[in-house]
Amino acid sequence: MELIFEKDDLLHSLQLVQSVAGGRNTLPILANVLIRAQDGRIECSATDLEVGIKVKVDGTINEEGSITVAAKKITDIVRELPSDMQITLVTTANDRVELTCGTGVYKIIGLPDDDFPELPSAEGEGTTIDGETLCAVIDKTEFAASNEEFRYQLNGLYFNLLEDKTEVVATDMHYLALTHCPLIKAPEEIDGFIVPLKAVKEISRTFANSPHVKILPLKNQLLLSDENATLTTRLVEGEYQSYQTLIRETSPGRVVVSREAILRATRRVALLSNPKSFAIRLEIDPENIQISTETPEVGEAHETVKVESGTGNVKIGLDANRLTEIFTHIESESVIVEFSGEFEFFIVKPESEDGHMCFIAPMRLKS
Amino acid sequence: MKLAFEKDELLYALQLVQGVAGGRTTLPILSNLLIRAENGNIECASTDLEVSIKVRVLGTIIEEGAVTVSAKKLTDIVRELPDSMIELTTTANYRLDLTCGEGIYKIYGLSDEDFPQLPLTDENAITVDGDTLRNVIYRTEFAASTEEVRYLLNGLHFNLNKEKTEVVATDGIRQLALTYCDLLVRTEETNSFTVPLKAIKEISRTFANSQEIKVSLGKNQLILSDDNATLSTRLVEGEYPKYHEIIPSSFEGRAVVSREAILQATRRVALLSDPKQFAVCLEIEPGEIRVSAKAPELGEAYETVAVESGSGSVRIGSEARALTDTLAHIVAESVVIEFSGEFSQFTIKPIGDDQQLHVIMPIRLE
Repeated sequence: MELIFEKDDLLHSLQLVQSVAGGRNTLPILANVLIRAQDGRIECSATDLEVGIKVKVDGTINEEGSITVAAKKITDIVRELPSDMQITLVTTANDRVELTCGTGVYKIIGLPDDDFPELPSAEGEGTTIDGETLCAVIDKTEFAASNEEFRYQLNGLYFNLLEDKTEVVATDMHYLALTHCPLIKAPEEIDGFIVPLKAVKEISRTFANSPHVKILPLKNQLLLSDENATLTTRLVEGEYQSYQTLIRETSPGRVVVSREAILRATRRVALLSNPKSFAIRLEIDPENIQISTETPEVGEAHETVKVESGTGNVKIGLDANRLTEIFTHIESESVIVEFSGEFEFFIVKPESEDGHMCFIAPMRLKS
Repeated sequence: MKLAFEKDELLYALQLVQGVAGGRTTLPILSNLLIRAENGNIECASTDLEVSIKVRVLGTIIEEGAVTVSAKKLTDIVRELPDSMIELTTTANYRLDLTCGEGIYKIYGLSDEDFPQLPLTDENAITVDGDTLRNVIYRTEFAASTEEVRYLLNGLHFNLNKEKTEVVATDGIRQLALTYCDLLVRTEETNSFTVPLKAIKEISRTFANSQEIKVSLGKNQLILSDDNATLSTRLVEGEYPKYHEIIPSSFEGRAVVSREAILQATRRVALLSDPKQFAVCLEIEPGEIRVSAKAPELGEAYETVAVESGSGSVRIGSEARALTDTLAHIVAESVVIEFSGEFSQFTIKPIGDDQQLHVIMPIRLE
């Protein structure tokens, strides 16, 4: 194999695949990136057996072939090479890659590509959506997913394929974020799937600027692709937590408030909340939202935020960190807050009501 | 006490002193900062008993007084506040009430009487140019040891000669950095002292923009001050190693190279060096330097860098990080490498600046 690249093209592709490649604890070949030049096309791939990614690289093929080398090493070397220089990659005997750039020669010991797991290709009819929409859906929900390993079904984004729409959901059982995404077509037996968080992060990185991303759900597997990259991921097995009962048509209380104002006030008051529970109190009336907290030996804090319009009253305890996350991930200038009582889920959504809504469980207040 | 501040003035002062305030493991009062309004001045201070810092804050005094509160809590709250006036008032039981716009924050503090004594500025201080002091720190600090077992080396050593001050840092194994500057302090009692690294970091932060800094040496402590801030630090106790012995006085060969070129080449080649020893090999010839590295399971790499002028040749091993750290902290287009043989330490100096010298210990190559 003999290939020539511009530094930036090669680096861009390596950086996309490198984060998928396994760390020290995996099989040696999984820490490697596969570089393959075949049929006039150069591709880089990496996989940790859960997520796999394959990216097209711009470059010149002098001789086709393939090799696998440590993903981190080659990325680190290419990153440090001078810009605007050509990089030549040549395979030599005993599965070595020789990288030359200017006066520098780097001989990296690799492994043959025969042992590299084959990545599935995106054959079949899928749904095409644009990368920006896909990333927005992820950004509006991902933060609420659980990172606790024993709740592995919640360590991902749930795509609920309904007849007329697709709902995307993440929750850690204390709060839940839900949004809508364009209808995704799937084989009939599939009515929903859970995408693991690692894959969700890679989807955002890989397809953020892609105009057309094809999504193809299969049994236990999801394929995403555009003209440059293909990403495959195993799906999380198991049933997702049912959440439909949380959604209510109307609430007795509802106020509209500036997102920035309530976000900043919450963040400040949280600094004097109990360092274990992060509990703060919201007292809402049609004029104001008062946010407060008291912690023995630390102090107390009170802020008042003007309500733009509203009805109803409530006094409710909430987790300040989760509430802050919600306000951070809503896009509109103003947010709508809905409430039914101090023991009911509290709802936050953007003023535009585009289907994005977040639910947060109340905390019992010490009176 | 009742004080009023612009947010930015208060935040700036709090951020300067907050870095010194102790963490969780120390006495509770050491994680607090002191705010004191006295004789028309407002001051903020913190200490960990090793380093103390006191900063003047611009603000309005409505009523004088003092209190101490958690440095981290107060700084975090002020950082998040909108850009409007902040009022601080002490109430009963050492509570500090902060009001800003619609917000009221009541923070439980402690009495200022338990706060350790703060340093006073010395009348006999010498005035030092701020840039000079900052340069001295930049050129040497990176070479100091951070290993606690070598506590004598966890600082910058100042050696007061008659005309010049010699400033040295070394990790005792791989590298030594030495620079000269004008006389820093005047004292009869000692001719050298070592300033701990924590204090060095705080000095860089506190006096980052000071044009002139007053320096004075007290009993086992060093005090620095400018118009706004005073910093004092305990000195490292014990005798600094005799480092003059490892500075070579003569050489068999030398090579002048572009600093940037050899730095970048070393940094890249080091990526394929043995992860345990992290060695690179320098083969220096009158015309070029070949930098290479080899790791049994990873591969090997070499680069060549043109020599601008030179004589003699050597093949010598060096720890890659010592070499790259040294080259990164020299401010010059070209450097001269002077060497005597594969088992002798070699030196790197900037071309056009005879006030700076770096010694690197060789490592045995396989």
